[in-house]
Amino acid sequence: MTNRRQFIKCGLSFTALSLTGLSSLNMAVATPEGHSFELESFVSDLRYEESVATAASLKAQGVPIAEISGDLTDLWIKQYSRQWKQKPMSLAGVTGKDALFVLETLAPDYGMRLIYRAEIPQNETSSTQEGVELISWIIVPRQIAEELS
Amino acid sequence: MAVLPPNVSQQQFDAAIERLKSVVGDEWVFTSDADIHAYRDHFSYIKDQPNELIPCAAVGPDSVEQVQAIVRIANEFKIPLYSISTGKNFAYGGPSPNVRGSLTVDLKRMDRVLEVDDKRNFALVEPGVSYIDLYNYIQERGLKVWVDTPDPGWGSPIGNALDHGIGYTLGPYRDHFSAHCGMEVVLPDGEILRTGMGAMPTSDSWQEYKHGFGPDPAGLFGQGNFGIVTKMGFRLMPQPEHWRNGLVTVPRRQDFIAMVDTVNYLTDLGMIGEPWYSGGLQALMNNTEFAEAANDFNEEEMDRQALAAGLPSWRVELQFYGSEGTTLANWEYAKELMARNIPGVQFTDGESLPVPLTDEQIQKSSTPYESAMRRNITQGRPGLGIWYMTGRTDFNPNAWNETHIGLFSLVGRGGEAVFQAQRDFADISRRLDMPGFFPNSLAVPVNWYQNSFLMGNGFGAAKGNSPQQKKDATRLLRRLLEENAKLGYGDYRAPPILQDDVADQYSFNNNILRRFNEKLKNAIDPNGIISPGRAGIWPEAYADLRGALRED
Repeated sequence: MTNRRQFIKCGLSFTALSLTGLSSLNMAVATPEGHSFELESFVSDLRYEESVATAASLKAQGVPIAEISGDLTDLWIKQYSRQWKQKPMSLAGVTGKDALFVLETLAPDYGMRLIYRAEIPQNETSSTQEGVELISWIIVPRQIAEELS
Repeated sequence: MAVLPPNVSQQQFDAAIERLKSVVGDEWVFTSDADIHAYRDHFSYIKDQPNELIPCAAVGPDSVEQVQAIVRIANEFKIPLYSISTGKNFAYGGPSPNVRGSLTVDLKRMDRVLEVDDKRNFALVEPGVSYIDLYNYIQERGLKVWVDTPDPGWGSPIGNALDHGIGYTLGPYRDHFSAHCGMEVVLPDGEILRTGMGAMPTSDSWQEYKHGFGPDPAGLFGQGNFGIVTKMGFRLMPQPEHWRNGLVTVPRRQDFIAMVDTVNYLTDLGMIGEPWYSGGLQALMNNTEFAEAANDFNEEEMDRQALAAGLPSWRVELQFYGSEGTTLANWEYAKELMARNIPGVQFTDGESLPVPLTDEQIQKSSTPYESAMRRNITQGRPGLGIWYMTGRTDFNPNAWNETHIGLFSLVGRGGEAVFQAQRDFADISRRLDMPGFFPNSLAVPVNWYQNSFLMGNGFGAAKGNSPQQKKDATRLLRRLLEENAKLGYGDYRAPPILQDDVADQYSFNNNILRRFNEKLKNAIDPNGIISPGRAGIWPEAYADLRGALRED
């Protein structure tokens, strides 16, 4: 069973994953209360090579990938706004801070919370967007967030 | 972080929370810091400061009856309420109340689309319905009506309309409060009021005739604190068969006057949607000589350099809705009028597409729109792209500097009035040494409201995110509001920390408008529990808080 410390470590691994292309992260995470959740969606921001690389490795593990290019309009209208109304989701992403801002703001309206965020230093070859930091993050249902807090 | 309502003890507060839980259920009363986080204004200039406008708790009712019960409990314990729908409203205070320690009434669970009629062209919705929800509802059912959406479209039609928000299609629909038709309100004593034909229980015209009989109090609930709106009707634009746009450019600075006159004529005849004005000479601002001329309002020199560079002084993009034939005829007529009024005017045909546009047409990144952002909103499609745009360096040098406030002043809807405002705003900005915002002779108005121009003059004045920098910026914005008002420029909307300041400027006859509203407020809401301080309207119970935020 994964405890809170391990969970956070998982988040840190996740950050490392985005930088190095590691593909061994187990995205099924157990909480201290014995509940487990699986990553139901990963948001890949096509503006960043790091995000695309992470998405490729997670896709190979069966994680559904949602692609954006900064603008969340299509993803939100066609997918997330409908899914989140049905039930809160566990999702993660490596995106620009602008995209995370939108999801982080919407999440509480649907019983979800951001539980992890870390800025990722961008490498020189990255398709950087000047002024928009690259962030790795995890959003989970409120109940899971409370168990982890 | 936990705060109590003003003049309420911990014991009383705990008792009130228990009563609220008995009404909505334990899970819909939010008191933890993590929950309250969602009700903070993350763009606030006083975020993390001792006077930050955070609520004591939040409660999420699911029905009108629960809202009534909450209002009655608030009266009993004298706890101020602050109601929100989807609670976004960034740049104007987000979900934060006017009084620290208010109880947020979060209406998101009331998210039912009650009716959409695409023959009579209206919708009736609850506060928790967002523009995106309403859009999805319409699309899923194949209904032939549009939602005139603000940008971003994650807010609610009720919340946006009540804060006098705007959209981007045809004039009658862009002014969201004016486009409302009928509302249901829980009054401060817990009674339910319906406006317009809703006052007649047997009427079938609630969403078609807003005036009813006798005085219509609906205006009191826009930017007001006289009740909690629980239902609202909106007139919807029928989905047109065709959309077309076109670009008009004029060579000389003074041509702007005839351009605006012509656009006003077309607008008020109902022939065009939102006109989008832009300056044609921004590219020359990198040229020191031109920048000097532009900052000095040297029109002769600006015209000379525009001609030399082959650039137009002004542009306006026009939207046409109708059939392919009528949109073409209207575009041809617009060209004919412009050519008659403005020597040297030029035209660029835009796109001409059957409605609804395909995803590919929306995403197309060629001129006239280089992103989906404008395409979405001209088609009544809510978007979230503005956050992507806002975060970009080109638009905001302090990208993701999370402290911004929207200040837009009303300016006369004419070319001369805009020129005067340009000079006034530039002069004020220079005198106040406004950072990060330099109004000059290239500034253009927005025509969001069909019958008025707004010009931005204070969006994001903070040099950084430190408390002192934010404090300095707030002082500066207060001075800006004062200086603007001396010259007749009033703001249409403001965040709580500036609402007293804006209200001060509407000072005709010793602020009779505010005094009148406060007389009503005290009569209707004797405990002052509904959003005290909103729009500068302070009930007697909280009168000592008027201007309190200025003391820093």
